Amino acid sequence: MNIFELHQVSFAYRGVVALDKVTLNLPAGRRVALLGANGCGKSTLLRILDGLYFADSGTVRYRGVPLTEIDFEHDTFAHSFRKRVGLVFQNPDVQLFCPTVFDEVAFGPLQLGWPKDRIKTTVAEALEYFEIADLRDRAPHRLSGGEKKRVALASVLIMDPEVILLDEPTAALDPRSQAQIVDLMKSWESLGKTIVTATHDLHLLEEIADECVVLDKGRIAGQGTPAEILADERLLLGANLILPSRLSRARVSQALPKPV
Amino acid sequence: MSEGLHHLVHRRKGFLDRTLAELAHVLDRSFSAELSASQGGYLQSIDPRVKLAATGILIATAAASHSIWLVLTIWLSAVVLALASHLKTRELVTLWTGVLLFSGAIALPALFLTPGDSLWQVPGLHWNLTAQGLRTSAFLLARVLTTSTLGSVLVSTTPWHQLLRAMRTFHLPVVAVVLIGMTYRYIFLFIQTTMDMLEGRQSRLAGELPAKERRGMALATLGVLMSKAFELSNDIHLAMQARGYRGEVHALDESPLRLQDWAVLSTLTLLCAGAWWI
Repeated sequence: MNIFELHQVSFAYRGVVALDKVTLNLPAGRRVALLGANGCGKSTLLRILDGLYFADSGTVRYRGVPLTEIDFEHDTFAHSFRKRVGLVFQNPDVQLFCPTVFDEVAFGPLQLGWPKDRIKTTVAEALEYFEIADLRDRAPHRLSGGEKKRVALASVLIMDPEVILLDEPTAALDPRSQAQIVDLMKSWESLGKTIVTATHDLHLLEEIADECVVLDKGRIAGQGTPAEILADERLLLGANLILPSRLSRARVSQALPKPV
Repeated sequence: MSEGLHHLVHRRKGFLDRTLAELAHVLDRSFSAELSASQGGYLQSIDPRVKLAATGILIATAAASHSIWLVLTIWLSAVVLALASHLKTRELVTLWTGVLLFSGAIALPALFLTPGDSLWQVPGLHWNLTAQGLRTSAFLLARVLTTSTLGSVLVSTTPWHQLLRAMRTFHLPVVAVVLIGMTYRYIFLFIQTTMDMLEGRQSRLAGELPAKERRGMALATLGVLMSKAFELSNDIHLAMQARGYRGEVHALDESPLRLQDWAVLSTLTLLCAGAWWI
């Protein structure tokens, strides 16, 4: 069963095309990686899947139901969707807007109207699970990049969504923090959740995805398993995900100005 | 002062350096305030709601009292409490110096302009220093000194998030508290962004820029910051929506005040009411 079905979806920011007639099915319980260079439309696609942006043309269906702006005006639908689909933004500073880590993790459940006692218990459990219990009363702006990322994940995962959308979860992290995040992502595999990860980290692909979708200039350039995609050098070159090393060195040295 | 900040303040000059030094100073001060608020000390152990209410009561008493001795007693009590809470004397002295300079500029003319019984005449100028003027100026200075000390002691011994929670207890609308919290949180992000931008510029400069270019650069920095702020505010709104925000902010209730908290508040209220009566 497909959890998301996109048909001929296009989206533009003030005339600049971000997605161009994207048709894509995302099966339930699968781990899908959206691959592509910066600006290829990965983040826009995630925001469309999360019902934050709405397609200029084409249709997006969640469990067979079309997602439209009008649907999100109804509290019942919006609450139900927000509980089921969670998005972790690329920049944790966007997502961490509360005064403390505890408030941050409790924000989602509070907005969804969970009972207060349940919120307190669940937040405590989530802080333990993400190993951030000692940061409970810290201000988010005082945290390291890896800590911020774990708080951002906790703030979304606390709602136990069936679909987790991750925008560059390992971007700008040191190797240790990166490994921690990848370990967490691998641990969700057994929970049967649908995980859609936007990334350009090819070396993590086989660990975090069962399927890959390559985006290039807002269009789908290729689809396949991580092994298939990684073996297709032409596809990766075309999508600006790799550069042949010899060629790149020659080009870079030619492009650089000569020292004075 | 951190080594990096010391370096900025004492070695660099010019518009960029001064701005960087000031920004670093703001971050440094905020960090030391958070540090002192999280330290062990007398006031740090008191419930933030009690501290907030007590500060309000004491400020109201100092502002309304007609006895300068009562105002000075409140100030002295605030100083004793600050010392018992391990606040740095240097910071208090810096605060008082600033306060006295600014309010002194207002109080000084009042010494001579307030009509009343002449105590002394400035030789050659025929300006009369009046008893009423002296009393008015003394009250102004004592009240400003006391209220600023009370405010400073409160924020230096209470972590910011607890202060915000305490405000919610006194029926300040949740949305106002959330807005204040978010503003405080993002100010630091913008300070950091500004510092990164200016340091990026600094690293590519040799020597001092002409004044016209400096002004142009300051305006360009402001423009970029405005644009970043706009983009960030859109993204934050989306991030809030993604977690169920529907235009109304909900918050957790606070636990009720303990018996000893009520006892402290009641005693203080009675004392202040008694002092007013006298």
